[in-house]
Amino acid sequence: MKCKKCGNKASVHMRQHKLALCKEHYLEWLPEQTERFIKKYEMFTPYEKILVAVSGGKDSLGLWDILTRLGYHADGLYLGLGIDGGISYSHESHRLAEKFANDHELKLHVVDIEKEYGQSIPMLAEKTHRGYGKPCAVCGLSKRHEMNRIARDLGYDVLATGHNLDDEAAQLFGNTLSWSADFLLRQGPVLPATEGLARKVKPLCRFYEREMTAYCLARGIEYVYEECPFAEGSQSIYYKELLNKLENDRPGAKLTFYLRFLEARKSGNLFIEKDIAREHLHACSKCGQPTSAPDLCSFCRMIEKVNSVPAS
Amino acid sequence: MTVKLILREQEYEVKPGMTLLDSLKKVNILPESVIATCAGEMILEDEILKDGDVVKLIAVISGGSGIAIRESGTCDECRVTNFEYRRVSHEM
Repeated sequence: MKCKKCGNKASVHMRQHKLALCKEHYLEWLPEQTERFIKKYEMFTPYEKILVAVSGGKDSLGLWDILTRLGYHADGLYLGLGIDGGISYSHESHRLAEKFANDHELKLHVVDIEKEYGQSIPMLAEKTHRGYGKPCAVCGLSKRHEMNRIARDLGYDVLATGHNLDDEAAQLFGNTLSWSADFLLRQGPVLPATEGLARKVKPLCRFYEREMTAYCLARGIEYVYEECPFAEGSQSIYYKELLNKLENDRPGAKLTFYLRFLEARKSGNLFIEKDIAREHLHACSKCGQPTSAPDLCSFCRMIEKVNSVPAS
Repeated sequence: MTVKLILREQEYEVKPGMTLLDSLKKVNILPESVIATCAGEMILEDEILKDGDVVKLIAVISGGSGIAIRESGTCDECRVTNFEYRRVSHEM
């Protein structure tokens, strides 16, 4: 297969785009596309300070690399979770995050959960009994809490995470299976800042997971390859495998699934009935039951009317 | 006379002369789930594998965490928006 740009031997083939590129052109193409998506979804401007959540994995290190190559002011945040799992998982991921920061002369903030709160993630999970034997729930909750806290405390304008399209499609798939309307309505490349919450953006949301792997390999970025020891058998990985089977038979299926969802959400056509209900119903000022009438509900109006008629 | 495919600790052997795509199908590995490298270079599905080639397959899937949360006010201690925990795990 030949590179579409130069005709040399291609290294990366993106079937969903019918595009094959050599290593050099792929390393140009991916940051260009990232910049396009940053602008398209209005994630941030070159004048804003970005905090990149860095786990030591391919997506977050790839994202940090791309943002700095594009000239953005992006610092990193590594959260020490205290996960060992027999493979020194946290230790290794911390080492690789530090190595990347040192090699590229970037600033990395490190927060160790155990030092900060007296308990590692597995200890917190065990003591709170959350997560049904796995610390993933406690881990996700703690990461979101700490990422938000650090971003706000240190005055960053935006928090960037390395979620890729496979992450987003798996999340969308899970929420669609359970018709979690509230989560579906909030999913997207940008979660705007609200009272107490920093703006969150996902600049890699349109790249497949294999594209990010290819980027790190082509750039020579050393990332933690071993999966978190607690991730085995997780629902998100199961959904990703299912979606990859679909993608294998129908190239572009994952991308279409996600993009059509974003279009539907933006158009306001998702779960429109709920909005209609909210718009037209309010509580009756007398009995509290929902009504579309301006003040009293039809029943209370009827009773009032009946009682106001003098007895004959 | 073989080609070796290596995925994590697992090794597979296929005959030379096949394409990478056919080799992956032969050993039941979903092409979407891996990136293949040979002699340190990424190779694509139409690559014809030669005798003695050692193809390293790099798994691309990662993930596993994430829970569903709801905002439920602001924490008095840390001033950050507080979350209500739910069991389902589809929000990242």
